Amino acid sequence: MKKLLSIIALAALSFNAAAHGPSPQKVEKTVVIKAAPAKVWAVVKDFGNIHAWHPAIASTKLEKKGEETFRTLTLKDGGTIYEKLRTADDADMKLRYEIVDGVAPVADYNAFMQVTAGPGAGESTVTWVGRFYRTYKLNPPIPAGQDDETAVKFVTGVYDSGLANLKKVIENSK
Amino acid sequence: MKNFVLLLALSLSLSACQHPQMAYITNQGDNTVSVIDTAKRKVTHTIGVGKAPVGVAVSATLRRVYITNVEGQSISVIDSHQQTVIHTIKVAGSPVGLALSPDSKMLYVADWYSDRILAIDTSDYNSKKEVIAGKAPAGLVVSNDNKTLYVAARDSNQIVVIDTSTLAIKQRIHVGVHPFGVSLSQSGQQLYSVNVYDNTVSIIDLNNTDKPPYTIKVGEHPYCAVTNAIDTKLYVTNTQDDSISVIDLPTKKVIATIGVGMTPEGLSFNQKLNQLWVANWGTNNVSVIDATTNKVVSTIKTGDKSRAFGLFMMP
Repeated sequence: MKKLLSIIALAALSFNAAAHGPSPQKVEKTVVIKAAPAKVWAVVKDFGNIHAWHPAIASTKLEKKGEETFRTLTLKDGGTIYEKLRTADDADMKLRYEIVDGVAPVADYNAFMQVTAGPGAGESTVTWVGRFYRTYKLNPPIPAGQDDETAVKFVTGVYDSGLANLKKVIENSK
Repeated sequence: MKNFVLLLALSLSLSACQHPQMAYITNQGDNTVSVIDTAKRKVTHTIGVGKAPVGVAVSATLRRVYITNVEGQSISVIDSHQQTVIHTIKVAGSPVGLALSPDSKMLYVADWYSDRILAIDTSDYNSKKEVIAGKAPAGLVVSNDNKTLYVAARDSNQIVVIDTSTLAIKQRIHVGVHPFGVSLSQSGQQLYSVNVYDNTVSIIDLNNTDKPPYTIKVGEHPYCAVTNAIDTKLYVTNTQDDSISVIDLPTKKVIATIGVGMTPEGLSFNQKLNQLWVANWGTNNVSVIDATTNKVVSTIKTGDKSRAFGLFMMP
């Protein structure tokens, strides 16, 4: 994960407004946390505090631009990711956001995190789902580092390490 | 003559019995097409195609189903009686949308990165013509009279109007931001452009294409639209709201929103059953909606990342 982020920061891939690829990719991960859904949701919805539980993120800067909310994630390995909050729905305990710019090797990334009750009493399930494209925007051959595999591997790493530590942080905070 | 007609009617009805109506759903993630018996709502066949299938077009006349394999740079041709791939057409590019002419003689393919439209003769796949249409062509549809091809040029924010006999570009109609899916009313009088980035549908009056399109706001990141059998309703997939917007066409207003699976993409209307069928990319299934009640009556498991971009219902 650490090495991957460094490579990505070096490559300094940037987003532009041109067409993304034709095949969206998906990563879907879940974790069960021994804590009440309301408690887990309070942590998940705190858009400006993801560094409190995500091990790859050093700091978060929250910004309001009119009605819209953005955050800048500074990664521990260097580089930043700029994200926009779409919605934080208390009724559904669902947070939707998108990547606007940054070092992540993905294009047109949007994602949600949702908290549901169960499976056991006093437990919560957190689901994290992302939809995105590779960064390469031309016909094959697709260069290494800009392909679907790189994009999927990056997002998988972010979700796996994030959810594992989210569980740890919440369960240890009792 | 009378006997012949009777015989013909009998054989037609027999063939209708032998070949139930099927839906063809492309599954991007596992490189397959799910074939669903629409009356039984059951997957009867799973057909292996090329890499990352997206687009679909069906022809009852030819008994063929055409599938674009965007990462495989090819088109799979399926025999709809045998439910097997009988031919693969190589395309040096990234084929996404595809549409048949009403007489099934021509297959039009949108090549995403090369900005071109291929016109392939369905009786001779080696006979290909092409035209550069607009940036990132996606959805396309042919007019009922066979004379005009409409292409959604996603990154040009245009519907490109092409003369099918010459492949000359006749007009460029400005629509919303990033049009992806495009469809026609049953009457052929209206064209619908679904604009992904500004969450709108543009309604274009084909009797007066110089008039600016009428714009309707729908849900987040809409992809595709289709009308019901009598042109009173237009259904739109909102990929990032996991829903369908139901537009009342006479009043041009959204009158209902129906929750479906995650990330709905392609949709088709089943006229015989008065149902709307929607492929859900995010949940790997198809939602079947009763068009009278606007309720989901069935959810059918398909393959990984179902897209079904195009008219996938064999009539």
